[in-house]
Amino acid sequence: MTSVAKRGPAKRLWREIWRNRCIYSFVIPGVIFYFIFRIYPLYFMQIAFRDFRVTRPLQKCAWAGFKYFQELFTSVGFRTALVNTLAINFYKLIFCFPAPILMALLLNELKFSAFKRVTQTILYLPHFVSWVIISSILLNFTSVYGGMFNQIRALMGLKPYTFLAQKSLFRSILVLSDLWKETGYGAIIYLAALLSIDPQLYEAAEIDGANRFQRMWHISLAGIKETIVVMLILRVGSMMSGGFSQVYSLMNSQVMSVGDTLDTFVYRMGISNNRFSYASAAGIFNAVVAAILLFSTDRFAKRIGERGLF
Amino acid sequence: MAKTNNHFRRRLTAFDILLMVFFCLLMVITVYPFWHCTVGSLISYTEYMQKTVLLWPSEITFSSYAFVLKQGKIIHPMITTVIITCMGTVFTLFCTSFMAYGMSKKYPGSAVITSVVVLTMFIDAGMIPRYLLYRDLKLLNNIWVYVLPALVNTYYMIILRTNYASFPHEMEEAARIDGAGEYGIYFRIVLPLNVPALATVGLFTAVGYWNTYETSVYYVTNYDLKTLQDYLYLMISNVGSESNNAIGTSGNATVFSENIKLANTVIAIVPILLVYPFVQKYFTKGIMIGALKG
Repeated sequence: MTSVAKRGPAKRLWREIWRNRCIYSFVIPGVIFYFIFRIYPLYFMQIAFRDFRVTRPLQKCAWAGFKYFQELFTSVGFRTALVNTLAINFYKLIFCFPAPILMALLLNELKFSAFKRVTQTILYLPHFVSWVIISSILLNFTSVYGGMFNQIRALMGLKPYTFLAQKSLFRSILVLSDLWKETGYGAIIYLAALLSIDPQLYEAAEIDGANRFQRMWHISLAGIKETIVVMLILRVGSMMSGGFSQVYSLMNSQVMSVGDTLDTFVYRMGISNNRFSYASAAGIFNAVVAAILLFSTDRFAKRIGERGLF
Repeated sequence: MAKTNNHFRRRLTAFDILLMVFFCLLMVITVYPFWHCTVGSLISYTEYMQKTVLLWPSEITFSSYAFVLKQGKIIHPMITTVIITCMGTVFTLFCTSFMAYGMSKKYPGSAVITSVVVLTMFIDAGMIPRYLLYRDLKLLNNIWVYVLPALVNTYYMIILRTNYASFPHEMEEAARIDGAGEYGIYFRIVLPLNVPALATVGLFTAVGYWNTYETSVYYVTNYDLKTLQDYLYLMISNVGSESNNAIGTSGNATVFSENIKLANTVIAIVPILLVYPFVQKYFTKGIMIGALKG
C-alpha cells in the first residue's frame, strides 16, 4: 500500500517531466554549461589549502592547511594590496557613486528633449570603450614628449611632469578616469527610475510653491531612493574588486605601492609567478570578504527600512 | 508651436541656461579625447609635436597607419579579435537565447535552476581556479578560451527570459493547435517576433567581445592569439618609463612614437564608434536595465 502511495506523486512528477521533455532540451545544455564553467571551478578553490604543483594532478598534492593564508597575512605585499583596494574603492564610493545620481537629476531638468537626447548619447559613449584605450589616451595626454598636459605646462613655463608615475596622483587619476568613463552610463538606471515618477507630483508641488531645487530634492531624489539603495548595496558588495583592467593598464613600477590591488596581486602571484596556491588563498579571502560585505549591507538596508536586494 | 501647455517649458531661467552650458562642457570633455586621437593619428609627427590642442589637421597623412600595417604586429591580434567577435557573438546569442526560452517556462525544477543561475552572478571561483580548469580543458592559449566560457551570459539571459515570458501566450497556443512543436514555435514564432531584443543583446555582446582584454591577459601567452586590446596594452606599456620617444628600439622592445600609438588606438576604437549609433538606439527603451530586478 505504502509503495503505491509513494509511487503516485513520483509517477505524476515523472509524467510532468516527460510532458516537458522538449523544454528540458532547451535548458539542459545551458545547465551543463553552468556546471562546467561556473560551478565546477569552485572545486579548484581547494588548491588554496594544498601544496599545488603544476606537474601533479590536484588530488596528488599534499594538504597544506592554512599555511598559505598565514603566509598571506604576514606578507607586506598582500597587506599593501588590501589597503590599496579598500582605499581606491573608498574614494570611488565617495566620488563615483553619487556622480551618476547627480547627473541623472540634472539631465532630468534639461528642457529641450532633442538637446537632452544628444547629451545622453554622447555621455554614454565612453562606457563602451575599453580601459586600455582610455589609458592609452591618458598616456598620450600626459606624455613628456609632446603630451598635451605637459605642453600646456611648458606654455606656463613649468617643467614636464610624469603624471602617471606620481604616487600622490595615481589614486586620483583612477577616480577621475572612472568618473569620466562611467558617470554618463551609470545615470541610465536612475533616469529610468525618474521616468516612473508621476508627473502630477511635480505639478502639485509647484502649485504648493515648491521651487525647483525643492522639487528635485523632495520628489526626484525621493522617488529614486529605492534604486539608489539597491545600487549602493551592489557597490559596497564590490568594494573588494579592484577593477583589474583599469588598474593594470594604468599601473607602472613607480606607483605599485599605491596602485597594486588584490586583483593585480593575485594575477602577478598566481599566473605570472606560478604561485597558484598562494594566489588562490588571496582570491578566496577576497571572495569571502566581498560576500560578507554584500550580505551585511543588504541586512543593514533592511534594518533601516529599505527593501534591499535579496 | 513652441507654446505648449506643459508648464515646465514655460520659461527659460538662468538655471536652465547654466545647465545647458554645463552639459555642453561635459560633452566637449567627453568627445575631445576621441577627436584628439583621430586627429593625432592623421597628422605628421612634426605637426603633432608643434601643436598642443589638436582641433583640426592642417595636412592629412596616413603614414602612421601605413607604419602600423607595415610593421604588421597588429595583424594577428586583429584577426583573432575579428574572429572571436563574429563567432562569439553568433554562438553566445544562440546559446543565451536558447536557454532563455527554456527558462521562461515552468517545469519541475525550474525554480532550482533559476536560483542556481542567479547565484552564479554573485559567487565567482576567481581567476586562479578558472586558470586550472582551463588548463585541464586545454583552453589555455586556445582561441576558444574567449568564446566557450562566455557562451551563456547570465545577465543577457535574464533579459531575454523576461522578454520571452511576457510573450503573448495565445500565439504559442494557436501554433501548438496547428501542430507546431516547441522547436517550431521557438524558431518560427518567438525568435522572429523578438528581433529587437535579440539585436540589442547581440550588439552589446559584440561590443563586449571586441573589448575582450582580461581573458587575453590571464589565459593567453601566445602573442598571435592575444586580442587587440591586449596588443594595445603591450604596445603602450612598452614605453612606461618614457625614456625614448623616437621610432626605434631600446633593448628588445620596440619604442613607438605617439602618432603610431594613436593610430593603433583609433583602430581599436573605430568598430565601437561604427556600431554605437545602433547600440544607443536601444537605451531609451530601458530594455537593458529594469529587467534585472524582475
